Amino acid sequence: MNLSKDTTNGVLVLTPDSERIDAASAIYLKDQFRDATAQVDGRVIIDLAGVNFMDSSGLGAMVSALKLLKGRKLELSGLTPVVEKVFKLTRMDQVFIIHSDLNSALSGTGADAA
Amino acid sequence: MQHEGSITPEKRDQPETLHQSYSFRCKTGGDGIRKLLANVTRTIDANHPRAEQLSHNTQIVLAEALNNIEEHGYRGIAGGQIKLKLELHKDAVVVETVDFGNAMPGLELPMKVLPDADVDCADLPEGGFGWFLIHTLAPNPEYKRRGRSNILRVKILDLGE
Repeated sequence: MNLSKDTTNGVLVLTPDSERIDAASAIYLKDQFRDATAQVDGRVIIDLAGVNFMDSSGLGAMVSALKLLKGRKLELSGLTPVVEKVFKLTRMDQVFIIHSDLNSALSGTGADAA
Repeated sequence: MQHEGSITPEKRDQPETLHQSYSFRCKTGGDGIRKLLANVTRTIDANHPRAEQLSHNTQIVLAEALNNIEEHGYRGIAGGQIKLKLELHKDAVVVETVDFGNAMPGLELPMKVLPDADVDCADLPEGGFGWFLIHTLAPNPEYKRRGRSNILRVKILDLGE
């Protein structure tokens, strides 16, 4: 699994190229997230619109990514139904800033859009 | 002899249309479990009229259950056999898995415990969600150790959002 990087108006947008973030791909996500965000101190969004499945290992990788930001918020956009359900059931939707899609994430200020 | 990760779905004839049963098998390692999940999902989507939530919930429950068998039952060793029976009922999907890995510690399933999210960021849980998800979407999962096999039976409900 790869995370592609794009910067729009100073906001770093990361997009996983895998449809599934599961036990097999979770470890790559954490490593690539660390590399991608090492020199960044602005907003960070992971766009999950292309991810149709996430298991608890994937969820754990998202939490470990959040921790790498050391107190800053991690924003997520475009959660598909199964992914959204996993976040809601575990109440992890409350520890990320979640946007319905990338456009609204980029047009909002981040904190307000949550 | 099947090669690693192969799956053989076979439909068994049942008199009632909404009481169908399907059998699958796979081996741990490679993308065996991923393929098995894809086949189970496809089977539900094609054969159950209320497929959407049931299919989503089954994917979540089975991914956790099968990962657990691979990582803990077989301790990450490839080639471990998993048999899976899928039953489609009117309001539920019942799945029974059989594996020949290590027994559940204490011969019991882990309890339904949601890791605490109301903590400092640095202390947030990075795991421990799997059995919570299983218990939530498939209440009262049953586990039996029979001989050298583990049998897990879950009834996944149509819990929508």
